[in-house]
Amino acid sequence: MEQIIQYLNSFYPLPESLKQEIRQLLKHRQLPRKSFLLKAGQVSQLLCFIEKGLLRTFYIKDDKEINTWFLMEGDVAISMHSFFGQAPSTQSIQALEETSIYYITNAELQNLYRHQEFNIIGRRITETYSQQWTQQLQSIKSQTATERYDWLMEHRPQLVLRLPAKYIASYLGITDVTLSKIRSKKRL
Amino acid sequence: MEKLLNHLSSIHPLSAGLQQYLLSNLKAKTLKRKDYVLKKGQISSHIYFVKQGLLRCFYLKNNTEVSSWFMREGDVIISVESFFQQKPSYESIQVLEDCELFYITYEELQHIYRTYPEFNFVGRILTETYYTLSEQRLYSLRMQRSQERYQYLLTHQPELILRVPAKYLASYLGITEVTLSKIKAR
Repeated sequence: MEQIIQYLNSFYPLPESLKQEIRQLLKHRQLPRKSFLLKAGQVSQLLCFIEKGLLRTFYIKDDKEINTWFLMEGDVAISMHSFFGQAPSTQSIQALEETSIYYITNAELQNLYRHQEFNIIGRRITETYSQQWTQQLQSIKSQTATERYDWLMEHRPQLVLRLPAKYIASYLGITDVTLSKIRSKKRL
Repeated sequence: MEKLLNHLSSIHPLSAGLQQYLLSNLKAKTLKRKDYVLKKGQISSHIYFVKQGLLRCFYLKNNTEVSSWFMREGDVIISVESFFQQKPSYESIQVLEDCELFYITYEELQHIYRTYPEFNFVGRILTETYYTLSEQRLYSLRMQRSQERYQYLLTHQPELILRVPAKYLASYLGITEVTLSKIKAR
């Protein structure tokens, strides 16, 4: 749990009283491999910090699972439109490894926002994720699968190590076969 | 400027000090159709509020312009990555209808966040809102057929269909102008 407090503190120094309040709010949940944090169609009520583990976000299109992103230690797991809009989620969030998370509810988060410092933190975290999202959007629109694979290797190498090939392929929008061709070209 | 202050204070009350700062430091700009607010390669160093007008955001893919976003009255404009990291933008922002904008600089915004902490609430809400819209846009691009994307636009942003030239609308929906007119005809 302390790593989450440190993470928040890195965006803006938290007074000890606020740290204490957050510690009391953070609840722990253990997600077994393959279990769902959120299923498409459900309304997201929880903001989750990943302490340890790996999750994927995905849609189902024409009966196929399309992976859109992967989250690991230090990431915030949330469906933006579902959590903030309190609307049914368009995607699912599933554990790919045994995952340990800490979470708070939407109501608890809104209550924390009555502290000015927490708005600074919330704003900065949202700005950070917003940039990541924009990068992803741009990458999907402009880059080839190989370029996107290269980006993953450079920025999130641990993901490439931990993810089964089929999930990486799905994320890149290619088949397993194409992915191994890309990978073998790199080994030469 | 009243409209802008009302819009911001509807999200969270602004202190008298902040209102005074904004009244003194907000700048206005008038731009004509085809003018650029930001060109690819420039740093997005201002944050704009659209008082009047219509603009588009586009990037180049294989030397073709692809429209990615449209902004109108009441919207806030930045090029996200470029603005937050103060680095060159990969996208351009161009005027589609003569517009009137209010703006402050990146530094002025940071000063406001430091000096008038209540504005962090406003900044947070606006960032959440645009991030959510961005998420929905990606979902739409990936999941929906062009007919569905057009329908979504017709339902949620019908004024764009009226105001945005067909070629830009088609590019935004990821279809050709021919396909767009077929969809419209149905």
